[in-house]
Amino acid sequence: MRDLELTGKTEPLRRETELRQVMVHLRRNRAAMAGLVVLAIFLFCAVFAPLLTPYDPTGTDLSRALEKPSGEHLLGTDELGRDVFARILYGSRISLAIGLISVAIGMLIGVPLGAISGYYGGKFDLFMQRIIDILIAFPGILLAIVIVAILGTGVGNVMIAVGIASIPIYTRLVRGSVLSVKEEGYVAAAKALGLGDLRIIVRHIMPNCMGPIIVQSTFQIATAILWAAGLGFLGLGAQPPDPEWGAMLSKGRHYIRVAHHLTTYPGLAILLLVLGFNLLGDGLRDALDPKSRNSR
Amino acid sequence: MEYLLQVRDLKTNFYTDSAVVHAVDGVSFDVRPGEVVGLVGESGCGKSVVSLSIMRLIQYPPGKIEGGNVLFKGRDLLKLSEGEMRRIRGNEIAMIFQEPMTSLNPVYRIGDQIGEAIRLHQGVDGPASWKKAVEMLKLVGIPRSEEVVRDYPHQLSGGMRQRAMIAMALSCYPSLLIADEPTTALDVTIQAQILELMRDLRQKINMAIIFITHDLGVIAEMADHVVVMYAGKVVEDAGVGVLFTEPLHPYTVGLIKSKPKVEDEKGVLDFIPGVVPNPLEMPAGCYFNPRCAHAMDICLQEMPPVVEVKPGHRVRCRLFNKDKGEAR
Repeated sequence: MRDLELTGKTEPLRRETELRQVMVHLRRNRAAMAGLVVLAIFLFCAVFAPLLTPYDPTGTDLSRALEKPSGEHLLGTDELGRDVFARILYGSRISLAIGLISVAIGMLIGVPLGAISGYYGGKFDLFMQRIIDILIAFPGILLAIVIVAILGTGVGNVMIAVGIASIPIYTRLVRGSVLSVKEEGYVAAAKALGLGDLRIIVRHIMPNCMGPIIVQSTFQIATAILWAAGLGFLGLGAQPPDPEWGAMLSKGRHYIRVAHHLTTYPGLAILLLVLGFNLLGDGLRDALDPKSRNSR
Repeated sequence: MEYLLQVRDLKTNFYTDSAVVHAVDGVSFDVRPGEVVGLVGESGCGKSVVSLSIMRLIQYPPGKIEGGNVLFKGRDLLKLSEGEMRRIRGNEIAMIFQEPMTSLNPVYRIGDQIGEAIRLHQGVDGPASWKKAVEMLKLVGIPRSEEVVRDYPHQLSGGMRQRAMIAMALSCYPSLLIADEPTTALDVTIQAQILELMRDLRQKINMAIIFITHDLGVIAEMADHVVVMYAGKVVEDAGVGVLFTEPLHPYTVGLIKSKPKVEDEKGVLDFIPGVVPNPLEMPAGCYFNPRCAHAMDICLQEMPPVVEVKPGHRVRCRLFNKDKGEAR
């Protein structure tokens, strides 16, 4: 047995994990880091909103309506005298919640459907993919509007609607990844060890499909926030007096000639948050893809 | 129990839109407990399909096992439910594959992967399976096994990975190991180490091995009994000594002659003329007749039957069938 052993003691290998490599490449990417900083600021604002402003986002003061930005009201007041800065701070809670929860809903349903579809193939796959074809034929925002029209307005229903509208994207994405991963040697080896299908999918296939799912989710949160703001603008999302950015734009546009700060700042907030997620998504995509990582 | 595994008239087909490929066409052979049976043949002769059929891992579609029996410890594996079959896979029959580079999941530590089969089949918990994994790594001769068990596959070399694969396959002490070209992807020195390891382990845990390869040198070193396949059929099977000293089937003779020999000064290797027939256009009669120097008229018309020339030495060739036709 002794003579079978490989060369005694070797240099301990540098334990460079995949995660660490991804982090290194992400940190080198300035745009992605800028995105991350923007997101961190928004997250901070959302969590600590009550500490950052003395004003109640829904408290009206008609005597001070439509005031220009000043030391007292950093971004001015709206038509009912509510502090725009406070409303944007509290609005980031709604937008982030919608983005995260709706994407979670889409993943929770879309990922298993895609995994089953890709792993088993056959008639179920054929049937599933035709349904997905139909759903994908609708623009996502249109699909979300239809679903809100069925469910009724409100933040909760917007989350559900946007979540459902993002299911087909996840199903397609995961199905594609599973199709390629299930041909890997370790899946065959897992089968030869007597593992069941569920265990193979959950333990051996899904972890190897996480890269594209993470990247897509980052972009999808941005899209969801945009859709939710769109629904809010159309009056289908959060209802007054909730400080939802889309709804703020919608109300503010009537006063755009006299008080542009009612639309400019909520608009900028939407832009920055969506941009932050997109920059981070771009960076993650590059960092998680070994090909683009090496070409740098 | 005389035989551990008896494969009888196994037939596996692959279906394409326009045709049926008989990848395994009536294969029969036996494996005794603790015996190493070599399965040899050219690429595409169906050796891997035989092994996947025994494990019932043929993917349908396009493949399907259409007939025969696979008796393992007296039970026909082809008649078991999928659940019963899963309890056999990895537990009583294990398999190692050709590609050690891709056969380990990159996202898990070696110990997690070796432990998986142990947890599944022996119902032990995480820490116990982890300890067992270290033990198995030691058994297959991996130094620093307490550290390696925490490594990820990409941190190991090819030879180490194949050892880890073997450790994984052996973790439940199977009575049969199917090794599908386990050394083809490794370089020669590592290959020799792995072969030595498998011989050693076979003694230690008394397990039978079905060793699939196209390398006759490896077969000569490893096997007790050899089964030669050609185009989905067994053309000859014999003990390893007999097969190399008195090969009968013209195909086996050709295979053995085409191996380079150190003492040979001729400079040109012998070879078998022609190519393996296209599985969609098999010749009539004996599948080997277009390449056979001894083909007779009857060979062009009928598939020859299997003749037992001596006890334990069977050949599928008319040359040795005394009743019909004479050798030219």
